[in-house]
Amino acid sequence: MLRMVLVKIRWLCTFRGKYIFSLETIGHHTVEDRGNPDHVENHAPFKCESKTAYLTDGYYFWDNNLDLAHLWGEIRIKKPYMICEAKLTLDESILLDLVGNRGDVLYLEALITKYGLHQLDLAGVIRYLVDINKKEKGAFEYQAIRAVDMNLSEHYKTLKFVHSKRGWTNLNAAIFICLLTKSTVLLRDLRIIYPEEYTS
Amino acid sequence: MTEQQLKSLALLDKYFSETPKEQIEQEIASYAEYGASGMPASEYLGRRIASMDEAKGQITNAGQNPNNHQEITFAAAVLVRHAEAVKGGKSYLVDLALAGESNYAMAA
Repeated sequence: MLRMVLVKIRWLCTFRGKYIFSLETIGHHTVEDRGNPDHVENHAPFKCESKTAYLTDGYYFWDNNLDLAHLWGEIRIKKPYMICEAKLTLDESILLDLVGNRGDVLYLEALITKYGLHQLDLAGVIRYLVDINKKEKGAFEYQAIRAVDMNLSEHYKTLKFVHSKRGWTNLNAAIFICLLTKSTVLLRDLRIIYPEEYTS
Repeated sequence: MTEQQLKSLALLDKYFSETPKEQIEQEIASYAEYGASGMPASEYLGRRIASMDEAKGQITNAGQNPNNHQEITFAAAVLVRHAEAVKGGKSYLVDLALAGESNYAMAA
């Protein structure tokens, strides 16, 4: 029995004999509170289709960061807001991770250089690649992108590595995830966690 | 790089080598313009919202995301355009305006 369980776990973690790394995290998604919690729980996340979307059109989540989800509600929405929480499961085959995977960063840099995309911002590069993939299937098959906004420095929570040196890290990195598609493979168990009146 | 990324680069090589250089330059310029100043609204509408049903769906759901106000305004404009021709369009728009949606009211 134990042997069967181990085989199953290994089968789940491998594909053609190779390990597929999978990121499991909690996503926080802030939306306007229009007094319609049922609609939100049935239809969220809501796609961002703004021309100023940081990583192209998609469904945006803060990576497990309730503080930033509230901050977004206060400074961006500026009126009553709700925060939804969902479980995200992102295999490396579908996630372009510009935060935790140096290989993905190098891949992106390589293609920007190789195809002369320097005049585009990051959203432009992603938007272009997503559109090319519609014509040349497999050219950019990612379904999610993870990035960090370094501009929110006033919200950094800094901690020195050692007191005697200058180096420090930030314990409140503004990491966010953009899902290019809304899929139950990537996203599940979405529920409202704020305000309290909508939680059950 | 992973096998998937190598395959991606191979397919991008194919795309960039088989597409005329002038077209690539135009594409890159248009994506640069899109982010910087935005493409003309008419092109944006044509690309994104093709029907009244789509516009209605977009308004209902996109409205919940505050980043989409420009999208909503465009969608509302499409509704206005279709309202006379499509039964129910006008009353739907009026309902939205009465519900206090300033973007829709403005567009109407």
